[in-house]
Amino acid sequence: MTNAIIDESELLNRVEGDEELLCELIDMFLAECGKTVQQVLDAVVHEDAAELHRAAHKLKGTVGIFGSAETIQAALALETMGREANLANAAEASTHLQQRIEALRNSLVALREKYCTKS
Amino acid sequence: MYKVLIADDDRLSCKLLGSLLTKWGYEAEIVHDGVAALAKLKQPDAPQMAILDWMMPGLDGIQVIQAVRSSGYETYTYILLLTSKDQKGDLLGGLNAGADDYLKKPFDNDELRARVRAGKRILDLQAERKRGEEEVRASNELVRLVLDSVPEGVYGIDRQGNCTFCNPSCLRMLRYESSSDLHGKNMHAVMHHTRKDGTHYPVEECHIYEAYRLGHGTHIDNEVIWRSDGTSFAAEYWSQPIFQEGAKIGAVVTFMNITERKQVEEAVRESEKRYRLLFERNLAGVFRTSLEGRIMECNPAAARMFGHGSAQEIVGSLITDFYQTTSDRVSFLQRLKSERNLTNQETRFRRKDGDTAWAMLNATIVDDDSGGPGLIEGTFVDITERKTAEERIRSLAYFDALTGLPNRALLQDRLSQALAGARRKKSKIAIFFLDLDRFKNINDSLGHSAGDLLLKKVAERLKAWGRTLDTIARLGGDEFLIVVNDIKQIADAAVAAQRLMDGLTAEMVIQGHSLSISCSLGISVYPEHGADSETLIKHADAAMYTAKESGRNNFRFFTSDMNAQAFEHLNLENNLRAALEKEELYLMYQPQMDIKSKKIIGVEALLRWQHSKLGLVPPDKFIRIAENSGLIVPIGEWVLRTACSQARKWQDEGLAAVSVAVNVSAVQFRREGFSALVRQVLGDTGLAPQYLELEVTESLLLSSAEVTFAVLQELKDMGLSLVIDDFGTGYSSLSYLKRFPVSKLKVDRSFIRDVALNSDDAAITAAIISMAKSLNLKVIAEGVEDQAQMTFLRAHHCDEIQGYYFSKPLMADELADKLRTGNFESRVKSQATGKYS
Repeated sequence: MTNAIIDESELLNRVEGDEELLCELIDMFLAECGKTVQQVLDAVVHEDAAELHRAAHKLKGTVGIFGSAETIQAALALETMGREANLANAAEASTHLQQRIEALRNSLVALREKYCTKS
Repeated sequence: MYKVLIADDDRLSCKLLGSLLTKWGYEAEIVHDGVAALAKLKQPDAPQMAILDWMMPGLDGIQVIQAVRSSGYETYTYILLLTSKDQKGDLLGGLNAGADDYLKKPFDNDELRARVRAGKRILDLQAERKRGEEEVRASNELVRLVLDSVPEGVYGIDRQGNCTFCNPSCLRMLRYESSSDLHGKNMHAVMHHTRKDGTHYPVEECHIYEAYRLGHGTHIDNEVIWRSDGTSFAAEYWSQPIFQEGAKIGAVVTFMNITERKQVEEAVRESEKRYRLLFERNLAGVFRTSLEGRIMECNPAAARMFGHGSAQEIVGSLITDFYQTTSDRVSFLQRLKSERNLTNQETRFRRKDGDTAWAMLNATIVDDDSGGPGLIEGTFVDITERKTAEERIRSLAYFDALTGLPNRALLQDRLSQALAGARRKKSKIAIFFLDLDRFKNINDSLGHSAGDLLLKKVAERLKAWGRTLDTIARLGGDEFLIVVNDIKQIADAAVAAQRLMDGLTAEMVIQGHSLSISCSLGISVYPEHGADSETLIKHADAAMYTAKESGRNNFRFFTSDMNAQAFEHLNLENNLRAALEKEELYLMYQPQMDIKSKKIIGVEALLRWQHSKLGLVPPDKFIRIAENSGLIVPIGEWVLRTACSQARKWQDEGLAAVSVAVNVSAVQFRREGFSALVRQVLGDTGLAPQYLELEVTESLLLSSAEVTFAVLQELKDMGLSLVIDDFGTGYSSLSYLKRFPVSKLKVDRSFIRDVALNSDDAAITAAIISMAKSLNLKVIAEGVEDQAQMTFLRAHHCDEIQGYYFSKPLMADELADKLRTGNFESRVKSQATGKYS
């Protein structure tokens, strides 16, 4: 399942084989994504479309780095809802996003185990 | 290394972008919002490239781009817009706002890299263009600076010959205000339309355009260029065609005013020409050699001196090769090197034909200003003729001019040598004293020239008779003296004497007259009749006298009873002693004339002795006795006193003041107090010193020169003049003349006699006069008897004459008459006259 979320070789390619950079990016993601996801969830709860657009867009950019197409798609769906101010399906979409992010986190933690034991 | 600004609110994106760009060789700078991005881009060392995220808090990417593009920052920022939008309209909007390119998120590494590289390439090109522009501007500035500062006029012309630019010097020299006055004008028409001679200068012949036509530079040294005000100047110019991409598009002309330079060149040329003429035409030889003496340059006179036809023939040879003697050769360079210059060096050269030439040489070492080894410069004049004459004069000191026989001086010399030899070898010598019988009759009846021819003939016969080891001398007049060396016994001398008389008495034909001649001969023999030459000659003389007394045409040996001569001497001496008291001595005065003014300017006092019984005693007889006996001292004083007093007397009588010349004998002169005596006599008689001339002989000057010099100087200081008497019969050297304070030379009568007939005598006389002139001495000729002599002397600038041509010696009152009337006889006298006769 892990492999389905992240193409490991593609990711290594992105950092041009720089495992240290990879580790830094994973650490940054693990430290920050919870906050951004929370902002998305809060916007959905408060039905703040503009905030949803902004937070989802940013989250999309962040996960885009790791190249997980499904996760990007999930973020994009919420961003579009925010932009179009159509929040009818937002709660459902945010739950899906949460799941995708969780899966991504797990994959990255596993990757971290593999590449970043020394630190 | 380019700096790239990354602006994105997503920290992970920033991190990744930054890391990747760093890996690719860029310097990354990261900010997280638009305001910070704009601030960075406004800094002086702002990043050249920026990757801006569209969506950012504060200012978004588009706003940042708009702000940067509208700000007019000097450096261009290449901006890459980062966006996740994918609608075409949005992307176009970003580009229209001023983004150079865009990149969609999530980005692909290769695409990012390619797009950043594209940006970098554009920036590179921009920078390169900017550098090029910078260089062009700097180079233009340099060209302008150079053109503004060069003193030469510079202008450019296009294909049509019209001015494209000109520099300030060009304007100034052509007298135009600004370059617009010339720009576009045809420069040939402006400044080159007319030639130096005023004729039209067709543009087809113009050398300035020639450069354009031919495609290579031209240089013209001297043409006229015209100013705006119609004046012109001489110019030198260079014209150089200009090519652009292989095609001729015009020419650049540089010109300068050479008026001053031309004037200087002209002056230099003129002075060189004058120098060259002076060098070429100089009668003196002029040369220049290396320090080793190798001839680098010389003039025609120098070549002629060495017997060569042209200077080229001797350039390159060593000047010392022309020296006759090794010592001259060596000393020339050695002395020159130690003394640096040589003046008036008498040098003997060997001419090409082998002849010897004499030169007066001056040379000096000239240092090379540029530090080279230097060279020798010198001049010389040919003094061969003078040297030859001097040589001849000197030889005359020892030889009789008429017969070529040794004279008394040389005889003395030879006799002393012979006596020394005879003493050593214990051999005998015979001395023959020979006097021709009745010679005076021949002279009187047939004339001088016949007498001279006879004497020459006699000399030839004597030479034919004598052996080489004998000396045959002429003592003067018809007296000869012969030294016969190496005789075994006295009888041998008698045989020789008889043979001599036989040979001599043979008949001879003189000027068509058949003459027979005889002689009287007196013989003395060493050691029997005397040990020294004086005694031997005196005894031979006494023997001759006896021979004459006993009927002539025979010879006699000296015997002790032959005291006739001695008696006569003693007799004369006693008589002479009494003569002063008896007032038998008197003076005659022979006038001296200035050739130019033809006026009498002086007289020579001549001593005479009228004996009551002997009659008029010849001066050469009694003067010698006076000198030998010491009587010359009181007699000399009497002469001096009488002459001075007489000269003063004429002046007192109101006659033209003339100087009086008095002969001074060596005996008188060498006595202590001579100059004091002169001073006293002048004081007593009241004669001003400038009217007294003392005549001394050359031989007197030469003996004990230092004492002589001191006395002469005292006399000179006193204000009276000193004259060298009988010049030419002694040593006749320039060097002693230079040393002594004499003011006049008296040329001996023996040269004057045949000066118009005999080329040797003429050459000698001319040489003496020219020598004297070169030493600032006056020259008087004595014994002048005819017009031909006079003409010669005048032509050679002799100053004064004395002789029968002008006047014979006169008594004091006769002279006074002449001075009063100014009437002098000036006709040729037929009779020769000696000084004392």
